[in-house]
Amino acid sequence: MATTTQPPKAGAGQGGENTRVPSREEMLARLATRRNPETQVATARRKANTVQVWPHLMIRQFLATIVVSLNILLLAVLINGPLDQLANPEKTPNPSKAPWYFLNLQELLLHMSPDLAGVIVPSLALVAIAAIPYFDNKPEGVGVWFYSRKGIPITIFTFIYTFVLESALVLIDAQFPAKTWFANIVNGFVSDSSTQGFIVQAFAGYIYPLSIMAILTGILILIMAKVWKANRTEIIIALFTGFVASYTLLTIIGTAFRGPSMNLFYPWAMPASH
Amino acid sequence: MQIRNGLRMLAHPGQLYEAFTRSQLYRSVIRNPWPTNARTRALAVMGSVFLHLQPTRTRPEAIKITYTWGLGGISFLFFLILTLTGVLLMFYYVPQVPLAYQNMLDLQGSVSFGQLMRNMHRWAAHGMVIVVFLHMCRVFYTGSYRPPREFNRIVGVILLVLTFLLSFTGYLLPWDQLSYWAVTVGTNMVGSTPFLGGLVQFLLLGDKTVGQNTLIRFYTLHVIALPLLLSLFLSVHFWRIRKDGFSRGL
Repeated sequence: MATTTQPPKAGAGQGGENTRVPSREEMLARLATRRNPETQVATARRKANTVQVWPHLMIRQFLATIVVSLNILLLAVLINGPLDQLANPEKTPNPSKAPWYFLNLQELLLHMSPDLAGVIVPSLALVAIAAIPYFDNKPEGVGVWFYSRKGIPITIFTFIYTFVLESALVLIDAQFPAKTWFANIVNGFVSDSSTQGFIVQAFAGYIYPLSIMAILTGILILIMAKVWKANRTEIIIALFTGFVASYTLLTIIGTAFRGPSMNLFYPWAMPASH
Repeated sequence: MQIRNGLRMLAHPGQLYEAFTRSQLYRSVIRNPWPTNARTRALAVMGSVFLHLQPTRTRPEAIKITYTWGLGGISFLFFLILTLTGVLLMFYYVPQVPLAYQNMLDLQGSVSFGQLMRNMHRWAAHGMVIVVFLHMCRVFYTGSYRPPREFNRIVGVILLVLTFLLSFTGYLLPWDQLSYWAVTVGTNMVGSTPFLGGLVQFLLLGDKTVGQNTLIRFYTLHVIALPLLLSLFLSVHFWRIRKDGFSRGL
């Protein structure tokens, strides 16, 4: 505010006899008076609707820094990072697990071929997440939590939908592995064992998991479009929520429910790894 | 006379401090007075290399805590904590099989605050993975990715991947059973990809199995290559936020 109203100080006149170099403040004040009325109105309006970053944003950042740092310090005082025995390439622990944030991929690995689980599915997911703004490109809804009134119910519904169906799929695949029951079927039609292996691998590793993923996603989109009368943005909210729910659920299963030989156990009945 | 004035100042710390803030030395470093009014507050933000990345004014809605939860800023804070503790850990750590493991034992057993530094580094690393992921979700659910911020979404996803990679490469360094087999499992997944998988796995491991070559590769990636790359994308990320404005208001 002060910048726009301060007149140039005496002695800072234009050229002439007084050749003193004007101070920084005087230069700023001079620049301010040079603005045209329209700009000044716009500036005034902008100022009425805004607050200064110092102190309004800075104080939040300052407090967040202190709170987070103290919490990390406290955690570090209370809990030690794990350190196992010296690495031994001869001795494979059972189970061998990836870091927790990759356990969702390791969980996928149990249900489909390794290239699909470890590379193709996660890459496609990341590309899809990055590509969202190119499909959902209307400026409406910027800065609004959950976009519309339907946003929150859609998010909750999709979370439950994903959790229930995916848990069921994990349990079914543990009880009736696709490889086993499909091999029994193929056994009746094909006698050559290498052809058998190829067909079973193609089905259990690719066709079966891919169709399940496609069908579940398709049903979700259909429910959104037909039942919820969702528009494109709301369908994308459902799809993204499906991803977040899958990531969360599979991470939880991989971390807390998988024990020796990657079999399923309750966390409270988990046998020690060996 | 002057000496007497000087002594008098020593007796009054307030005066000494004021004289110090009036000195040429102080004013050459801190150019603006302590911000007390609108003008000096704006100058404080504009004039500092660390603060000028932020605008001088912003809409109050855009900085509400229940809007952003500060997740992006906290991710960056974790990165700073990790850099600081990471540098301290580097003083004691040699990426050599099996010396690395011995270094870990020494760090925990005999280095002052070694265990604390290691714990902080580890928990901040987990924290960063979680908070970066949550930040990605927050940006999605508030529609903050919408034009003109599409490209920053891509940069954000790259930062997420770099965060995963930083955490994963750091995971190997203690060279215990946990880290060794986690990285074996992780890199085997890469190796099973058709066509280039085997090649990429060999490139990562520097060998057919996890060993000394892998340790030095992961160490170099962890302490220099990936942090530099992350800083680069982080600069672009921040710059685009500054240029496009905060997503609510303005």
